[in-house]
Amino acid sequence: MSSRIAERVAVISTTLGVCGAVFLPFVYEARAASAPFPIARTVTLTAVASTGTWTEQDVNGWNYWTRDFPAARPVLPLGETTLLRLKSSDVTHSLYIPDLGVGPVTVQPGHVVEVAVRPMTEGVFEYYCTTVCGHPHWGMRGEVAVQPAGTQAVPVQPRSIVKYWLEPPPPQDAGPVGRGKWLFRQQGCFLCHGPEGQGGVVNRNYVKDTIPPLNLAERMMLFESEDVNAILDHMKRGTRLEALADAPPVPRFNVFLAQYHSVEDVIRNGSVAGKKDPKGPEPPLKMPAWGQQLSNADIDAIVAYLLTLQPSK
Amino acid sequence: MRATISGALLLVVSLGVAGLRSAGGNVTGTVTHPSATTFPTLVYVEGASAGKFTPPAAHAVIDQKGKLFLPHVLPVLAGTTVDFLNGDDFEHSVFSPDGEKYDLGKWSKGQKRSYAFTRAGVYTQLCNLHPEMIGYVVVLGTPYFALADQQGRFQIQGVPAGSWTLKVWNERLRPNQLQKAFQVAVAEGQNAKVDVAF
Repeated sequence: MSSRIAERVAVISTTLGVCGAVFLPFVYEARAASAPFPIARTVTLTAVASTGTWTEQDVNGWNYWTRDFPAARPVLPLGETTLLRLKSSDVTHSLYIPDLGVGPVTVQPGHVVEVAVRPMTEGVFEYYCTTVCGHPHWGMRGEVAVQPAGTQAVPVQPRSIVKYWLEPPPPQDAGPVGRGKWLFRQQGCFLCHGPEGQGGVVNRNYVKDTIPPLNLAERMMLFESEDVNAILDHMKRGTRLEALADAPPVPRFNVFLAQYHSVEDVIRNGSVAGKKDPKGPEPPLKMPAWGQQLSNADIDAIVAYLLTLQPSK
Repeated sequence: MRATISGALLLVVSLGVAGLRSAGGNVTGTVTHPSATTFPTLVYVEGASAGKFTPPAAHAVIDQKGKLFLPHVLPVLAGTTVDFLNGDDFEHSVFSPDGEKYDLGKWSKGQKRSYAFTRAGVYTQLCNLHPEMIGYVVVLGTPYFALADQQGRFQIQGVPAGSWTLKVWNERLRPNQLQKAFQVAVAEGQNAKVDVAF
């Protein structure tokens, strides 16, 4: 072979190799699963950290920052095998469906993880992301419906939580209550505790089944609005609450103070969600430790805001 | 033989005396306050000082289960020891910011901690790991107390004959309501009725 032909072969193969390599990820992502059993449905779920969703929509570089991706509500045929193809569009996520025995499966960007699931019980089951992936992480959950084959899926409205991240901080004179309300949304607290602290979000195998309401005033023995206002007046003035022990502004101030310290410790250090059935799965949601992100003044502001809420019991 | 008979007689007589001494009368009534239907409400005879009565040797028990103190309100005679259990598969702690203040620390399922309540007063039981848990040990200087049912009805048994003052406690009554006194006259072997209305 002359050197001329060899040169051409080299140029062509290099060109094909370089151009072809670009398409390799697509080939990898689209490759069919070679499961040794029949697959009735394939559901592709893509994790999006910016909106805190597992979505069935196509996520790419063109739409990532401009679209609010709705949370997927896949329908799995009862008694048949569904292949879940899990992808991440950004950071490491995980998928956990405690009732179907799926995961938590770690999903890293650039890799497709395939999970075969054959649900034998009809119903609606929660799924969660259990790897902290950003502020919206705590809202990264949704439902999987298991229905007899051929049933229509229920469309899900896109849920917008992005607007809270864009909310500007309140002015200085808004005081601790205003700042606490802003932090409660900004930090994503509302995603588990509810916009008004009413709780109620399902937490599988948690001893209380759902997230308890944040009825802080009641827990802190401030049963009358005048008691709440007496404490808030001091918090607005920046008084150290311990210094009030000699002239307590509310009845049972000692219990208030003990609860105030316990609540702040739970916000600062987090709390493990106790299991209902000790042999059952780990509850997917737990109180994270906020001590690294929030200053003591911020935690005080959140407590002040929560004292103004009156969630029903 | 004679000794046995006189021994038996003595036993019967002393039982009779003990029976007479503990007979007294019952105090019954109804607490009418909105909180009495929602929160465990305690009615007790005031005036008997601590130390006059022998506390029970058996320990009273408070369990912690499903993130609740069970029972939510435990009334005891001063001098009673209370065992705090943990029926949950995760840690709990027990402390009280009231009275002489105590902190029994943290412990897991199967273990227990005890505390002897010698001074009368209301001790709020808190768990610093779970601030939603609240319970109460109400230490009284008298054994004459009863918890009202959900309709507010109560019965205090074996109150000695005489004029007594009743007081009421539940976690929602304000300080002035806790101070409110209700008079009752107890006659031997009779039921005394009191209307505990706020």
